[in-house]
Amino acid sequence: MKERRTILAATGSYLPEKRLANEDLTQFPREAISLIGEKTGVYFRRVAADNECTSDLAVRAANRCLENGGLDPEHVQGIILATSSPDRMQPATATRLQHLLGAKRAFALDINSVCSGSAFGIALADGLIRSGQYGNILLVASEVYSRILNPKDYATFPFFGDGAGAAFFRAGSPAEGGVIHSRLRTDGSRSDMICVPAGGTRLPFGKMTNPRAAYFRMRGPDVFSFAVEEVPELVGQLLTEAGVSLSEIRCFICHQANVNIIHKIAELLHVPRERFFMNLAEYGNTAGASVLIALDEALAGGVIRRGDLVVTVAFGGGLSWGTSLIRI
Amino acid sequence: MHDVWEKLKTVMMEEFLEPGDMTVVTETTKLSEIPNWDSMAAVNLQILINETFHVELPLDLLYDEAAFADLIGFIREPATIAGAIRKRNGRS
Repeated sequence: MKERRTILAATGSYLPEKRLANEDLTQFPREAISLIGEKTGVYFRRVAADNECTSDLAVRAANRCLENGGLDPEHVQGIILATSSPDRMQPATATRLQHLLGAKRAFALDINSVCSGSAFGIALADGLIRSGQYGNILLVASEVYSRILNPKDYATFPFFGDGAGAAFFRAGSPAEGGVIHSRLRTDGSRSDMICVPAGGTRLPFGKMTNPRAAYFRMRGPDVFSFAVEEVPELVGQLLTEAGVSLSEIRCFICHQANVNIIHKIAELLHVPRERFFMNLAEYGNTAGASVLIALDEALAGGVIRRGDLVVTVAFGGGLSWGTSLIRI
Repeated sequence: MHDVWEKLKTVMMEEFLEPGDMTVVTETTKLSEIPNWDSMAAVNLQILINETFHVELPLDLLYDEAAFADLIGFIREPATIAGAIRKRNGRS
């Protein structure tokens, strides 16, 4: 049987218009505002309008992706939406995306791998296409964290921004490049490190005793340790299994978590920081959407071109972490 | 001192500590010994003290080696804050 490959055919992204600078975060003490950029690498973030929800951002990114590829929504066979800030607890946010997009023939499902959403989505799309079950998959990652963050929590609120990214994958041949290899990992024993405690069956809103439980929480120093311990090792494993050396990688599209984490991962991999694409300063951490947004910007800006080898890598709640090697 | 400490513990549990964290936190605990303490947590503690006790404690005094007993002293006697800042900055 002829070998199939999952080809990255097009990308797109959407960032809401409203742009908040660190100086706009007046709920924090003045002396703390000046530290935000230094501590996180974030100087601006986008915030969804009151009438925009996760699926609204998703459909804009998806439409741009399909337009960029000259693709018809009716030809989309499957939609995977990575989000950890869904429209509703049910049904899947992807169902509204499918409707708004007019992708009538596509199945639509959500995955929630928190900040690893794009990474897990790439691997799943690759599996569905490579197996021969589907000819194409539209992967979208969309997050509206401004609705799940505690505006008074300095340890989380300044980090994050809203946004969405999309990638259209189609079946092709190895000669065209595509997704070469992926690795995914999960450690559920550390699921409390990054979470929204309330709102599910474990702690319904009605049984919540502390309003803080409704908000996203993250144990920052533990997350830093997790990321720098696990991510370089998994990237190393990915490349070893693929028989590719670090020096062959044109660009690392890493989850835009925090400038210090990204720099440390680069240092541990012995890769110059300049080979890690960064848009964190402008958009903040867009959680599961950050890798697809960065991938779209890197392609649109000519940072990566057809034929380049790229590593996508993300890490986050679950704990979860994942990486893919892609020939663009 | 006890009343301030009890109130501080309560609001810290409500606002930014996790269940279990308080088992290792006493009045003599240094801030750096709080699980997951970092400069972001310092700002959250600063905001909490300001909102709860109406005491404007500068970040300079929420350094790693400071103990809760020090903070409780500042909360009870805000007039001592200015002197503590001068001392911390090496000025008499």
